[in-house]
Amino acid sequence: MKKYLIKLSIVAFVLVSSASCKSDLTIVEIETPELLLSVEGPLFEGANAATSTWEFDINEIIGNDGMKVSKAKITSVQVMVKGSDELPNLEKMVFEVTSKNTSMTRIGLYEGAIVEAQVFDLKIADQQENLASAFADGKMTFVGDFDLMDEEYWGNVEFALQVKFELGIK
Amino acid sequence: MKKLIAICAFMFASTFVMAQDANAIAGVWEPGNGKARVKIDNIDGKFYGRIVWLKEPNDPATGKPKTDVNNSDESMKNVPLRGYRMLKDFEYKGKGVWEGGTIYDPETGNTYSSVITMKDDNTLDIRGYVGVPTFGRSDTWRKLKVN
Repeated sequence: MKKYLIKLSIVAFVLVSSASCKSDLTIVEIETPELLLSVEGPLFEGANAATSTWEFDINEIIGNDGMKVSKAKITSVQVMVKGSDELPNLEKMVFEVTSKNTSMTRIGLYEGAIVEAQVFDLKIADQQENLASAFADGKMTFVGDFDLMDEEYWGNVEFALQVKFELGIK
Repeated sequence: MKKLIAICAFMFASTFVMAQDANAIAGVWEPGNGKARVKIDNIDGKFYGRIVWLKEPNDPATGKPKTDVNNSDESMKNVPLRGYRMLKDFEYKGKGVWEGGTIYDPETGNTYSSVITMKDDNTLDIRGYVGVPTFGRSDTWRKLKVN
């Protein structure tokens, strides 16, 4: 009976602790401004990487009242290829994010053709690393790997990019 | 004053040489088994390697391009292997050594800590390990000449 009571009190302690931790977090949704995801040509058939850097002041985003980002994940990635006179045939995009203190993490996948001036939503990974430390860095780099279907392309390719995050702050 | 200028010039030259050394790893490399070619490049000061060529690009069972079927995340199993970023987050530590990165083995779906050592201009020693480098396995990669 004594053993049972000890086990019960441990379980109760864990439950109360986790509940109190959860209630401390305030969940907010934020989004980046429209960013330019770009790569300079020449590009060759196969996977090519376009990059974009987002610099931000976390105090402007969540307010400068001692709050800190404890959890962060990406909930939406929208991309649109920008017009050009002779845009090559493009397909698929694998989307990743990195920062100074965050390892590069795969976030999204798009599997269709990339058509000019059409916004496409990426499928977001079910498993994501916590991106909270990237918010402490003040700067993130987004990488979009897309397939060039033509043999080569001598121009630059640019995408408009918008990313939404769900932040847990306390 | 002359001393200050000399110190500044030395520091500038050292930074330039360090950056040049770091970028020596950039290029297309072939692992020992010859099954793939990996392009290593610099993104924001860290080094990453993407598979740009596969000896067998298609899955013999389906005839379709190979994907990351061993990924533990069900939602990412359709990511194509050609273009896959298998080397991630390496930082140059000087003396021909890049550390702090990981290497992904698409054949098993496992990711290992990794350290890269440049043996000469055309040879890399890539060591994958769990825990400490002593208990790991190394592979020799050769640089491909791009005409």
